[in-house]
Amino acid sequence: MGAQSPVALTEASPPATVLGDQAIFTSVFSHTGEGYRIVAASAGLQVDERREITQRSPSHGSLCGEAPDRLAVSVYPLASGRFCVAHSRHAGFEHTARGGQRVHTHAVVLTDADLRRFQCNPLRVHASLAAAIPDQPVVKPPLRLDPLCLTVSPASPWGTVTAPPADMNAEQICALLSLLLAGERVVVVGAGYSHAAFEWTIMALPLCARRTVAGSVGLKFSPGRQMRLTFIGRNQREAQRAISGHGIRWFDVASAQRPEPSAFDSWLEVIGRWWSQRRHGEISGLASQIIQDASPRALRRIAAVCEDIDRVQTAGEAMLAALVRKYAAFAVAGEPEADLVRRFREAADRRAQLLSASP
Amino acid sequence: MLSTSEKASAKTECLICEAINPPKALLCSTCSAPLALVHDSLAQEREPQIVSVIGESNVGKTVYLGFLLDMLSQRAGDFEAIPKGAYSVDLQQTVISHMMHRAFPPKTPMEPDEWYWAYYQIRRHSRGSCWVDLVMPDMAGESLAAEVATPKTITVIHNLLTKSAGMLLLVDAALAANGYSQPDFFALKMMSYIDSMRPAKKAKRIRTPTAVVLCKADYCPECFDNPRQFVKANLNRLWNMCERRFENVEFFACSAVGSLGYAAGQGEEPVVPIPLHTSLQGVLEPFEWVLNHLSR
Repeated sequence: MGAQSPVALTEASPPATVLGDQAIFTSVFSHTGEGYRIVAASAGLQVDERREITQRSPSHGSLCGEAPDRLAVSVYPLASGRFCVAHSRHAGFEHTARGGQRVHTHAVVLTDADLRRFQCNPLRVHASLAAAIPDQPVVKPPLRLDPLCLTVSPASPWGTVTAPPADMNAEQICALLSLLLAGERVVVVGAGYSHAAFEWTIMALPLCARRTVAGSVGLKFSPGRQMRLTFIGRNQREAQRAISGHGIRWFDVASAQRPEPSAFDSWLEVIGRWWSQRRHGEISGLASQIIQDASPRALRRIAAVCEDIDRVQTAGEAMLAALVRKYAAFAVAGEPEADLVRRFREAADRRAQLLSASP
Repeated sequence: MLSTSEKASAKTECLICEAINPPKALLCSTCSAPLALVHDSLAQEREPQIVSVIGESNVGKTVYLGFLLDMLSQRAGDFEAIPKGAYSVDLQQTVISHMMHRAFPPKTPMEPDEWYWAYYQIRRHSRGSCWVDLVMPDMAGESLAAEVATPKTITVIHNLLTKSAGMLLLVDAALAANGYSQPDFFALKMMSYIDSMRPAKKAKRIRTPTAVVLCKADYCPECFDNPRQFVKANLNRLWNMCERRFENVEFFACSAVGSLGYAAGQGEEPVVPIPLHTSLQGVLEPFEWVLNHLSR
């Protein structure tokens, strides 16, 4: 496979901008209310969406750490079918002056089609959101906002906004992916407030699974936020207390073990190997192609083709012939497989030429 | 019939939302209420009653409840009160220790898992009356506002108010006395929400004992003389709602802070109100009234 796989989505011709509904959730005193609430929103935001944003937005003291420049990101699908990405930060002192800083959250809500323009990478949406809103949070915005215009920023060669995290090895990422693919809820500690670890965990998931993950990085764990993936940085005793007995997995990156055997083993094996070989772009590229079926069976088939593509690079004549025979009448199931088989054939041709050219 | 230990080892049904939780869970997976409430109530073998302290953000719910619990545990007003579990003492400890250091307690976060909950056994000391088990959560005003504005946003509030045997509605008398309509509107919304969630017939008024507590009454001492008249004059929408829809309602004035100083911050730091000393007035009376009306 090439070093940087092309992605299946229309990366070549994205529209320059997308419009999303927006909301600001913070604590201000006004003539009609006091305290944390949605203080401003665009007209397209539905009542149920406002309710979900209120339920999931952080209130007082909910960011991990008290530093004035602390940031947090939360991403979640809404019941309406749209997707919300929120940027939370401190915004000076809270007006009641009862200690602590005001938490200011700016959320943008995108349709599924618009999310796909960002390869369903919520951190790319977040990067555009952060660029679109003022550097300093607006504490008293007008009640009615216009829809927010987000620029579809060009992705890095990996399709991400962050470089692969240096503090997560293949075993750790696979253990975490294994839990997420199995539908578990996970609280991750020990990865710092790592946006990179968060982004790469999401980007290593098949695209169709990414859209279903509600997650946050930099926010304290709260069961009411109903997140499946929560990066909380340091160990927080309250978080352990909150998850106790509820089957939510406590994932300490430092002591992550090999993943337990699961139906996704062959897929995870490919991801783990590529991660070790620093083929991060191929991971996100391949995962971005899987837009419909992320069942164990589908991922097993895709993983098998990936293994064969890798194998063909070093195959001798006999093995090459066997592999070519295998794919001569291979019935592909879906676009990702078809693309992989096409790439297999190209790789096989290159290998055959190389073998015939060598003495 | 299960023994107490058998009950404790079985799956735990949340006292507030009735969701079933695994035996080892500490907080309810649905509403985040502490499951220690359930274990403690099982141990008492008495059905606890919920008394909710409700009101707008920054009205003083945490301070009121903290002082109330502390007064009860100091046998004020002939009451005897026993906290069930250390978690029940956390709120009063937080309030008392902050006020001793001339600071208001921190703002209550909206996240229900961060709220304080108190479970107390209470009775009149001298009259030899029966023990009453009371559960009193310290809810965030913003959570109440969110639930009132869009029902089912914070489901624990809906469940709490549905199950409340008594309520204390705190209203900012100082703001109302200064002509602000916000306290009146919030209280009206709150009462309207309670009215709409109770499956009472239209003609039937709500019987849940509800004490309307005029907080920060030291700013408008006339409240103490005649709280009813104050509400009628300054919170007329609330008054009309109570008169029309609530059968069992009484009005009280209350104050916790004797004098307030203000510390001007540097740069962008806000002006911080400093409670110079506490002077409790009317804290116990509304609770006493609710308690007296619980069993009727």
